[in-house]
Amino acid sequence: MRTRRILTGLVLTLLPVMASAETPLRVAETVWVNSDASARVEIQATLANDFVGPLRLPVQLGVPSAIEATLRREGSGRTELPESSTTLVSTWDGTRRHIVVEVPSTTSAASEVDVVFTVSLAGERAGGVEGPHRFTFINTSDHPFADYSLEIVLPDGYAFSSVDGINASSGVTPRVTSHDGRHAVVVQTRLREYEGTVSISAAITREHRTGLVPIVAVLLSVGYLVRFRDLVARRTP
Amino acid sequence: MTTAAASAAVTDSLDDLLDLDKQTFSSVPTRVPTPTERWMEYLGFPLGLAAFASILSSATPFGLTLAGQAALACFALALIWWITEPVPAYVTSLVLMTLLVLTAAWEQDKVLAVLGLDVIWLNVMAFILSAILVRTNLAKRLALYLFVRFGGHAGTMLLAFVALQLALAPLIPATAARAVMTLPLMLVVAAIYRSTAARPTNFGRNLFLQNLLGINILSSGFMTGSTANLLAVGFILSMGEHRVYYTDWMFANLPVAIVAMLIAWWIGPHVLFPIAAADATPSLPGGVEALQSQLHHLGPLSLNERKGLAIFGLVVFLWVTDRFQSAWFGMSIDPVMAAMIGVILAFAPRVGLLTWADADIPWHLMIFSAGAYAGGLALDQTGAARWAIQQVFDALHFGSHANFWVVYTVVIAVNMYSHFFFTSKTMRTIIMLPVVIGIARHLGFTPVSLALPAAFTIDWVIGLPISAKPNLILFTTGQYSVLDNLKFGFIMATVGIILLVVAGATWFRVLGITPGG
Repeated sequence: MRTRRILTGLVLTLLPVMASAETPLRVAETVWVNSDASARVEIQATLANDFVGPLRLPVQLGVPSAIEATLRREGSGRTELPESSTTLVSTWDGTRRHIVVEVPSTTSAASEVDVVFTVSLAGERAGGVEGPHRFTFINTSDHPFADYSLEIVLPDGYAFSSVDGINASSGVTPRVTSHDGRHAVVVQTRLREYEGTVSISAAITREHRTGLVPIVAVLLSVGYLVRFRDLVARRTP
Repeated sequence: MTTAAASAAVTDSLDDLLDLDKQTFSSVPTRVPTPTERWMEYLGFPLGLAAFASILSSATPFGLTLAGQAALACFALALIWWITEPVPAYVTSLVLMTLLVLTAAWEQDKVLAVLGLDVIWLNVMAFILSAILVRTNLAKRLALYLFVRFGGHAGTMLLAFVALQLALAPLIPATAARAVMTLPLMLVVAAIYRSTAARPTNFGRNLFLQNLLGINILSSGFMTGSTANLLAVGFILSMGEHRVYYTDWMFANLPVAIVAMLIAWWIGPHVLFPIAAADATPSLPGGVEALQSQLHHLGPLSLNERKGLAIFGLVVFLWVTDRFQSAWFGMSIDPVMAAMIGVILAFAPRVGLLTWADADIPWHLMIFSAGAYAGGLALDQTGAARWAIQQVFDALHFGSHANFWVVYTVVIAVNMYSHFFFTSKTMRTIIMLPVVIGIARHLGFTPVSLALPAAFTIDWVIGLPISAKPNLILFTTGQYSVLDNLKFGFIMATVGIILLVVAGATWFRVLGITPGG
């Protein structure tokens, strides 16, 4: 028992060191948010030529379901990976989840693994997607990420009321942008260290225009132009 | 009337004229607006509301948050109202701060915290320090000396101020400090030339606006002229991989700044605000001799003047030596703290020379400043400023074969005119410089060839009273309107663009900054 604990401790200590020895990955994660607070997540991991072993992709947004994985290899097109090749692994307390993808032993060609799944962003909160959200990604995998981008794409008719979050570890700030005619926010950084973190704090709201502001502006303007017309009245000397 | 009685009457009248106690900053000066200003006032109110309503109620553009959109709408309204003045500038600031909160552009605690920013504190301290110069008669003595030495004609008097600002610029990096030190002198000289807040003349307009230009742009002659200059140098090093040295900066841009000052010295009184012959020479009771007599009658320095000089000297010493203080004292004294030390000494019982009643703090200006900074910070923190700048550059569609000089001119122009929409040089630098370096890299130009000339525009913050601290300080005198400032600032900013383009094609080439040298 004691020996096992020592060994576990040793492995945990060495994990970051082992990770840094790996060839870095490039990972792009796009979260397509739906109005009912569900989201379709697309992760695109570009593997280097010498990638070895299963791919462990950390998932922090919720409990993934309907996981699908595809392998795309340079020169040989797309291959749908069998359901058995992806496993959802989580720690005993459920705080850390990984999707483990068994990548077939690679050839010399570089390859790309696309993983798609759905999650619920609502958590214990009822209702739609409106409100504040914090999208966080912590690299708890054993792969250093040479490049990581997290993009949140809103449903049609929704916009960000505000976006915050200078990421202390990397210093990068999220950038509000657009994706396929929808409002989006993206943050891009390197996550080379174990537990390197990137996050976006965003408040989502429905884009609704009220006619009240223009009406009030017109009323105030007309009132002012009438009440203050003496300003431009011809003055007798 | 006997000669003695006439002489006494003349002296009384001259004393009245030079009595700075009557020109308090804390009371808002009233001016009779010109017909154009009345029309602007009349139309400005609905125009501001129209801009606000149309920006706020349009679809949120991609790349912008709702908070950013609201900040843009609020700032557009405020900018139009500040320029056209349908309500006093400080009321516009209050409207802006209220709208920022009500439209959810910026949080209330952040909006209210702006009044505690170091820039506001520096302004408060600066006005108390300025009171030292006024109450002890030091300002009157220095201005009379300046006048007796140079002031036979408006032209030489204005040139004397160009020289004064040029001498102070490398010594005192804080522009607000330079404004405070020279403001009482300007007031006395303006009074000698019969330009007052109630009846400003074109001499007054030229004097104050030319000093506004000098205080700001002469900082651009020195790498250490402002924090924003150093920040730009940092960007050019970290992103552009080019180290800019103090002398590189000075040799390149100090001549440009000096030429710009000389152009302003000529263009102001001859084109922008022509000085009538009657206003070009002081029309004083008793003539110039009376002023010489006044200077003579001031006698040797009084005890209070010596105290004032000592306190001011200490503050200036702390301002000038800020970069050496860490080595000397193990700590660096910020300009605000240096000013505060001076103010503490000035108020110290028995040692000092001021009472609270002497402190002439224009709170309307502080409210105005707070609103301007709140608007500027909201634009920055919501990402609206960055978005707007990106839109401008995106709209230009620079192709990969774009001509360097076209890109150079556009970059200089956008950087120069962008100061109308910013209230902080630091923010402008943080937003603009990385974009300029990105454009240079994208088009295959050396980053420094665009970024350094763009950095030379940072201190050209001359267009509006909200554009920089010295502008706010000088604006309190009531010697010129927002429209006067806008007219002068726009023309001189355009002159600045032309100068930087000409320098880019000639002088900067010789120095190896721009290609073709």
